[in-house]
Amino acid sequence: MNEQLRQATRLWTLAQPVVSGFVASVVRDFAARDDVLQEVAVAVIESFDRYDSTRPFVGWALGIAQNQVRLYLRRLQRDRLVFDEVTVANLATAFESISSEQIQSLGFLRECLTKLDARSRKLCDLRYVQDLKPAGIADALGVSANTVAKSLQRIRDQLRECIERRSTLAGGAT
Amino acid sequence: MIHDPSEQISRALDDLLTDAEQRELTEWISQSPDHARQYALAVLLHDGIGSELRGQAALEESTSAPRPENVPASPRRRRWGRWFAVSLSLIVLGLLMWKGVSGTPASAAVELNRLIAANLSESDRTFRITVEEVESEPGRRARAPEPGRPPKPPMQGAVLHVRAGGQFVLIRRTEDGQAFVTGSNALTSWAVRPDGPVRVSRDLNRFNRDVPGHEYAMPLDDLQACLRSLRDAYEVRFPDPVIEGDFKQLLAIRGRKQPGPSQVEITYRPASRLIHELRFVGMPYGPERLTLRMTLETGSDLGPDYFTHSAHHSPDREVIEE
Repeated sequence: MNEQLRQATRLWTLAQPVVSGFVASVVRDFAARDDVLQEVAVAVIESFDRYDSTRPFVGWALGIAQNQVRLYLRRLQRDRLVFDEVTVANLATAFESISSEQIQSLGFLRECLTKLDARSRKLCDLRYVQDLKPAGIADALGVSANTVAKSLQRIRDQLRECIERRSTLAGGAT
Repeated sequence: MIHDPSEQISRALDDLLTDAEQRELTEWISQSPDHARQYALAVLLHDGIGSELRGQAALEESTSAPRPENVPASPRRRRWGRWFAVSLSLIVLGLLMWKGVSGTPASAAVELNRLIAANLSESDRTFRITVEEVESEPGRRARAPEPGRPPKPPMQGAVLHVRAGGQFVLIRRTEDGQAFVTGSNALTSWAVRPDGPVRVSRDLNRFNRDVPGHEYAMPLDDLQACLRSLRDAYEVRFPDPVIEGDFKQLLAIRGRKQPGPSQVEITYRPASRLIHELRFVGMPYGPERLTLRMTLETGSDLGPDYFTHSAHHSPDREVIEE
């Protein structure tokens, strides 16, 4: 692997969670997100020789991601965006401002997921692996869609609190 | 006006907002950078949960199915979403270095690049090595064992654990069933024999020479290097007829003047593109040519210390640094 490629790889590895989050914030469909994110990855590599290393890499990659989102939607000739251009730009700025510590704290997510009870884990599997929305999950479990929506919100809150606790503990240990 | 932003954000993540609620959320996000940041952090977590769980599911599926036959067999086709497991942690590397190997159809080339991206995983993986055939090459001398040391155990049935960054643990069995373990944690390489001192070296290649493929930049302990070598030096194509079903295949055919195995079959999950098996035909290995398979068994986290030598011997073993 040559040095430029190694550098690109290293920087992308660090930036990918944020760029993936940005794409997820503006492209609802899971499959479409994966397509767009891979196109972003390819575009980052193809244009890495034009990256100005005095600028933050994440911001540069997010700029490419914004372009790729627009290109993708133009190809589809369908508006799958949920936000207007100004809001998309605001969100790109917001993602760029997320600190590396906050991104690294997601490393505790795997451990926090193991702390979920069986029912919560089942809900997560249906939502995130099977890609069911609350109505579909409600049908599968025999509860109301509103109950499912509330449960998913509680699970996300629980995971966020778990991550924050572990981050605090890890920060205190260093 | 939004009364509970957290709830509205959560409903947005689950596609539950009405048009009016979506407009409210858009307006709220635009009101201040803090609002946009709050939304961004919620999406980051949501996306992270999805990536983690889909990655776990994809790895479990890759290790649970039986090895496919080498003839097309497609009794049914399962519908899948486009889960990318942990695959998007890196990018398609080949486009910067792609040399346009002659004879490689563009679609196969693109697919191989996607495999490379999909398998740039931070997850640990465990493979079983099965040697199908051993051919002796006339005129080539057998590998001499290192002075004062017994011959090394065979590769048949060996277990190879790999982790990103060139870390590996190769476990072979002697004739009497004892483990002979070599490995590297990317800081040192090491060898733990059934008896005698543990040997450790700062030369990361010191103890990986027994891993097939190293001589030809196609080491089994570095999946990425393997795939990139195939991309750069082999003709890659889909088998004819194309295999459909739970697995897909790519074939990599060696050019006439190229060293290395004559053919490599890459079997992978079509949805996640995670590699299930690599089959090397005619892999040079010392004086012999092996046909061997490397089959994915598990994708479980092996823990922080597994790739250091101390995880594989008792604390009272003598350790010699070479």
